[in-house]
Amino acid sequence: MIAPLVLPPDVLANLERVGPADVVVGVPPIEHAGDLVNTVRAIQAGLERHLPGHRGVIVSAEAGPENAIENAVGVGGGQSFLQVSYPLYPVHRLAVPYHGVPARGIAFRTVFEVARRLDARACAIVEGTDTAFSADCLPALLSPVLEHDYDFVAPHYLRPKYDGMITRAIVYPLTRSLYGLRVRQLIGAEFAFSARLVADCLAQDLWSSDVARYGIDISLATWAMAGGYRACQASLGARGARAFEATTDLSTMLVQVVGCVFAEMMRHAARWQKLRGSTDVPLFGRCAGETGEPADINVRPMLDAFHLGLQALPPVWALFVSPAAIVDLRKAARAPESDFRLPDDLWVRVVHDFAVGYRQRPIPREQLLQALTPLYLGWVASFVLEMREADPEAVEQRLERLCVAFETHKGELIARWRWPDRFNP
Amino acid sequence: MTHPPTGLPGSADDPLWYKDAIIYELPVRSFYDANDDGVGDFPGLIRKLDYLQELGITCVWLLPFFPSPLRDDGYDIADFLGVHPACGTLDDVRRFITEAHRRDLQVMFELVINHTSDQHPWFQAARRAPPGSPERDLYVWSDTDQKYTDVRIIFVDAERSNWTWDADAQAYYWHRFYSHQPDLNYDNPRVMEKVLEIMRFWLDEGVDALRLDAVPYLHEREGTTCQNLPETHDTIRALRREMDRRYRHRMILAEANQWPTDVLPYFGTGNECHMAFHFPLMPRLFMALRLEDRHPIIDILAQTPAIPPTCQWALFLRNHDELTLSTVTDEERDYMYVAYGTDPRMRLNHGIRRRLAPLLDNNRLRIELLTSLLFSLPGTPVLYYGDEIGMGDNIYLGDRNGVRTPMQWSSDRNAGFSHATPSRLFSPVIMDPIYGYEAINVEAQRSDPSSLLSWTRNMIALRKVYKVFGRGSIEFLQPANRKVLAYLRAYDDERVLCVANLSRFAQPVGLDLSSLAGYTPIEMLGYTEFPRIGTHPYPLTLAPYGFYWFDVQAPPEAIRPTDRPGAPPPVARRGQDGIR
Repeated sequence: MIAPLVLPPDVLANLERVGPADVVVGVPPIEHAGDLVNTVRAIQAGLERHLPGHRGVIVSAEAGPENAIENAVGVGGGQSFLQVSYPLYPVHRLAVPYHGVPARGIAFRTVFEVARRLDARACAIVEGTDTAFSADCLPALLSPVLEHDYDFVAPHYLRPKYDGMITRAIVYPLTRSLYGLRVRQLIGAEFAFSARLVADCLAQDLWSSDVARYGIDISLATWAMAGGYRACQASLGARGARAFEATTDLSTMLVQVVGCVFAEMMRHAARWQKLRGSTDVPLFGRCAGETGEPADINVRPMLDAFHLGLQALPPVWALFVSPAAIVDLRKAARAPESDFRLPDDLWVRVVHDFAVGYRQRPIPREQLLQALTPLYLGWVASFVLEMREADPEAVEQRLERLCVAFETHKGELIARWRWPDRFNP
Repeated sequence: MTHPPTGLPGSADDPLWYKDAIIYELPVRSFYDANDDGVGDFPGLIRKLDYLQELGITCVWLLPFFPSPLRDDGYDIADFLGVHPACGTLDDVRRFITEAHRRDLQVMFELVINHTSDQHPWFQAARRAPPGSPERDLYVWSDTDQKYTDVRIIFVDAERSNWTWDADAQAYYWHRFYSHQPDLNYDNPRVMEKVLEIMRFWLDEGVDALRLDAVPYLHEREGTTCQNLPETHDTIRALRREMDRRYRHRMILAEANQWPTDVLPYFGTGNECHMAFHFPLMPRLFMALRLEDRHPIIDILAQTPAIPPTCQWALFLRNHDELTLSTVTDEERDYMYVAYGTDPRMRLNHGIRRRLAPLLDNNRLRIELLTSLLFSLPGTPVLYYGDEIGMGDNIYLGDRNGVRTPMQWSSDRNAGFSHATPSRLFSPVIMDPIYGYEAINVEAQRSDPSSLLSWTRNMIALRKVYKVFGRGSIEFLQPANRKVLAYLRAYDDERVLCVANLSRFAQPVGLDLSSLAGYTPIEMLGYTEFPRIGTHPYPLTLAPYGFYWFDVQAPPEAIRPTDRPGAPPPVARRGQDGIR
């Protein structure tokens, strides 16, 4: 049982005034007010242009009492605009996630609560980023819920070749193998949810943990995938690197993102152990966009970090990484730079070992996840070297092979999870 | 009295939560002492809730912690609504309930309604009140001790009669247990009113479940054995009606040490107790192991009738009482005494007062085998504190106190249970070289992935993955080799095959699994795929005391990526082929 979120009396009065809605679109705060204003305007335009028969409410969930957006965006058409503040404690400001939104979980929860109280059939989250949200993308996000009875809509972005590497290396292949659904982006700036999923999530304790603070999007997406809700994706066009720009260093980002994925693995362990294989999920919409040319990546510093890790960290890795994997990592490190590769089987094994280690906690979890950094950089270097000349299709095929490797080795993960003995090969 | 809103919910969302539960029984006094007075208490228990959560159990069952003279380890209650000062305060209990719920642990308390302590104010008033007065009639009185002469004496080693003379009252009073535990008189409606008040009090505090102690003995009628009487069932139904009327997702567990056919009425039509202990199965698990023959287990489960769909058996290997032998034949009792209770000090009443590990000669394989049966036979397993680390007992302590010694947390003084001077402890800790706290303790086993504690934790986690264990049907296989026990469990799309070798030597077996031809057994602990099942007997070889749990799966359809740019691929739904 989770205590319900209490909205301030003035917000409740506003909700009473606004009345029921078909659609609630929540806009969590971001650092640049200008981006936020543009985002709200795009949503307003999208609602008016593409969903004219639906009563929409835009909710700007604000951390703290500031109230500066309403005047900037004005209120237009048949839509309503609400600004809802949610409590922000010092700990939230200290623990800013990689998205840069303080207390992001509370912001999401506030929007969900508003949607529930307004009996909205669909609830979308749209986070303002430097890559402006296009009004024409709104139907891709909302129509699966409003017209096709989907419960969860994840974003699908066109991204540069070397962008979103944590998702490519770990989040997508691992979660796909775990939960059996090929949802590409668990981390994103836009999502949509059905009323049923909103109500179910509000009833769960998804909101108060560190996971919620850092990775509420991962928590909600995993809840939907593991819970058997109808899931699909919305094509939302291009997103550049800055869309999810790190406000923290790589190591902290790994701790936050991978930590969230692993924490959700623990929560849903009873579910994913019984799922096999994976299936595609539908893709709605077709928002265009240019990803631009991929940046030229210098792998030298990554390989240096990988080699440095191999010198310093084996005593730590040995607490949870299998000895054969450590030996294979050393073997891989001996290759000349141009031939450096981390085979998929080895990478899968490493990720699985870290997941089991996260559960077993032989060392503090943050420390454990930090120890993944040089290995992750090794994987990125390997990927860049292998894909340097590859076109987007070849990159997709490469990623697919990695996903298949994760699915193929899932049985070993289950065995390790069920019998987490250090004495393994 | 102000009533709470109708339907006050418990902490569990699922009304049938108890079917998937793993219950952990503990005496507060024995678990952890936070204030260094030598007695375990609620603040200490709260400190150890993380341990219980880590172990994976889902429901904490507390033995009586109420004010009591403690002449029957707290089952002689002097105030049903209070807390024994040594255990803490009512606020401590409330904090415990909150903290347990915060960790998704349900809480079960004792509802001891057959009797009170002779120190209870009700009895003190009754013995001084005139015959026929309301105070007097709360208990069962007689001018003669020759009524209900057909009734057996339960504590044969301590009591000669179920009647005891009270000089103040100038009358005999009735007691099914110790003479200091007078039975309440359920023919008096005031007794029921008081019992309902007690029940409401604890359920209002958030308690999820109540264990009805000694439930068959509530009423007395001449010419009967005074157990399992129709009036007793009326009383239980009244309790249940009140529970269902005012609360949601709560549970009643019956302690009825009877044959399964006699326990069946305690479920009613689903309108009496939600759960009841399966007493006769317990000694037969030990008997089958020692005889190396599955017959005792299959035989008693064949005699076990179907129960209403909302009801559940509670299974256990050991508990705070002796290994009771009241539901075995005389011959079987003789065998059990020779097999498991050779020293007369091990015997008490009709049973053997020993813990799990000493009963099994501290053999790890035997402990694991019996625990695997406990976790896989139909019902909800109940673990007794300390058995997860293989704690020993002390047969030199009186009554059943030898199995209620302080929990062994570490190799520190007093087993890490208390910082009190050792002589202040309510009970000595186990100190022998095999089971003593220096050898057997949580701290050591927690850091050892090969320990019994780690094994138990892994098995609990595995059991929780499959609802079939708590909710599924059972079908016994009949291989020629009787040293092998094999059964199929099924629930929804889950099918589990359990095979156990009761022998101390390796055993071969051929199982008729032809009804599952084409399916593939996946060994559940190591997730190892075994050869596909065909129409011939399925051959297995089991190590001494070995067991297998197989997840019997239909072969997965090959699902490989389908690159179909531009075309929405099929929607994945729960239960669809390929995402099982």
